[in-house]
Amino acid sequence: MVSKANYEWPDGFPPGVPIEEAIPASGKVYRLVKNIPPTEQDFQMYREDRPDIHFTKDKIPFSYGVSVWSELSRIVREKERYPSPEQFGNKTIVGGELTDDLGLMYACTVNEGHVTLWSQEGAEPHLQICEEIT
Amino acid sequence: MNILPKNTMLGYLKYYEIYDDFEGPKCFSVKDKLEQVYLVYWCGDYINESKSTWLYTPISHKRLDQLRREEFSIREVYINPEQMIYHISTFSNENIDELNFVTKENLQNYNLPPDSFFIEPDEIQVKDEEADWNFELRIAKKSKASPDRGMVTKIMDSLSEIIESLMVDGSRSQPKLYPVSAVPGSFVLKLGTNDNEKASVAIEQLNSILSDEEDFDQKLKELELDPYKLKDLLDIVNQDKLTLTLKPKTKIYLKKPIYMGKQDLSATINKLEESTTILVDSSKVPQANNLDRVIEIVERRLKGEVLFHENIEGIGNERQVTYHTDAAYCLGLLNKNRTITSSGRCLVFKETKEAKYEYLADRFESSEFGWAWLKWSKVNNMTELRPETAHKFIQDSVKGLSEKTKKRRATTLISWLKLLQGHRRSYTEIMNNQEL
Repeated sequence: MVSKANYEWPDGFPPGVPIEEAIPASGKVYRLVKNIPPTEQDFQMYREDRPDIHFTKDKIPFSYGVSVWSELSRIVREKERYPSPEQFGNKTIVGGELTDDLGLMYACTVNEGHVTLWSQEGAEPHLQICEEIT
Repeated sequence: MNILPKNTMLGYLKYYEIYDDFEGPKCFSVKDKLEQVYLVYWCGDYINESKSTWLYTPISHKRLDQLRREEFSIREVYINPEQMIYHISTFSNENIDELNFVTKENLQNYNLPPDSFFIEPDEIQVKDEEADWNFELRIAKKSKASPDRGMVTKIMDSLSEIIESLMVDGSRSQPKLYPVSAVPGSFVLKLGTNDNEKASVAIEQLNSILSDEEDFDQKLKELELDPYKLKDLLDIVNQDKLTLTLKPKTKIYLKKPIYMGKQDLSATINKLEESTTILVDSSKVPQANNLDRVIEIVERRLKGEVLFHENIEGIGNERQVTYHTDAAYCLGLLNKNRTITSSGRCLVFKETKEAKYEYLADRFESSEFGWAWLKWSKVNNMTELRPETAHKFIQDSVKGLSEKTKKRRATTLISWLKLLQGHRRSYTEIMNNQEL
């Protein structure tokens, strides 16, 4: 297993990112993407995806990660709740196994099923989480 | 851009609760400066225009409560709005947020939530302090008049004592049920708790006691609930002709509301009065052997003194100060917050020690622990109580204490009883059964 000290983080990561409680990535996860097969753009960190959002201090570390979901049912439900093309209607669910060489992850305790993945320098999660589910 | 609009006629908005947080809040409620709550649903993003769109509609607390209890879907709120619906666009460029009125006729042109979208109670994120409640207690007069403040405080005290007592489970955290806010009307109190699951179980237990009159005593014993506490609550409801409705905020733990006072409660109250179950809350049993020191503490409080252990001879730490103030509370001499009661004042103004002891002998008999001990011993006054039964009485009737503490409390009861027994004043008592 990759030791936490051996990860290399992108230059833009400020101190305190990833958070202390993050652990090496593992387990099956899912994400909504625009492209099939998924591209790098589908796995941009949240702050690049939504440069318009102003993050509060406690949310800043998570804005350097990408959101994935450990429960397929949760992500399927979201597509049902927001079915129009302007919502999630045109997006596709993909799944795949996280491995520790991708980076660190943190499973949210408040928002069940939500996992933040901090990709280390050179990691390509779009090549691993690419199995088309719907 | 923030998710919430800033430049519309709705003014400054802040999050109230979030119902769906999927890569940012997608369905939530917000509150404006005038305390109006709006339900918000995300209609989608238009990347080329750098805009996100939302449907806002004002929602009353009553309707929001029903929505949380999954009585209808989110779509229903928009199909049958209480007031207007607004379509709001927020931008990530310099454009100013836009607000448009949605009419009933063109509602179908917007992306509405599907029929299947209900709030998931365990996913609610509370953002506003006012939304941080767990149960709703509705106190209504049968005559449609408003309940007065005395009734409301009595009900709140009595019900909280019962629920907290049923929540005790040996863990270190002290169970709490407390008012968060109140809404005028009949009288609707929003209650909070530090443990929603335990409080819900306690409320269900209370309901099961009330719905099974045949097995009252057995149930009270099983759940270790003092029948007098329950009787007090039902008495207030019955005397003041009230109905109580206790509803959960969501259905995660408690599925159905419970009701009290819909039917006449006299028979239940009589049964409780006759109950053979004797239970005293551990907070009502003293742990301070030296009664003279308890008197001294009350005297100091009458003078307004802030109690520090360094100033009181024979007391080595703050914890012991608390034991003594709690002991004074058990005799009704101090309130929980250490303010002095009229009984405490009366004690201090007794001029001789003899008079103080006589007065305290009365307080002993009428205290919760003293009365329970008399009842448990099946005797009528403290001169008939036997000190050596103190430990057994505590073992049988006081809940929530370790064995060591039970022994410690028993020594207090023994020393107080021995001191006060000889000072009990005799009352004119009816000796002839015929006259009863």
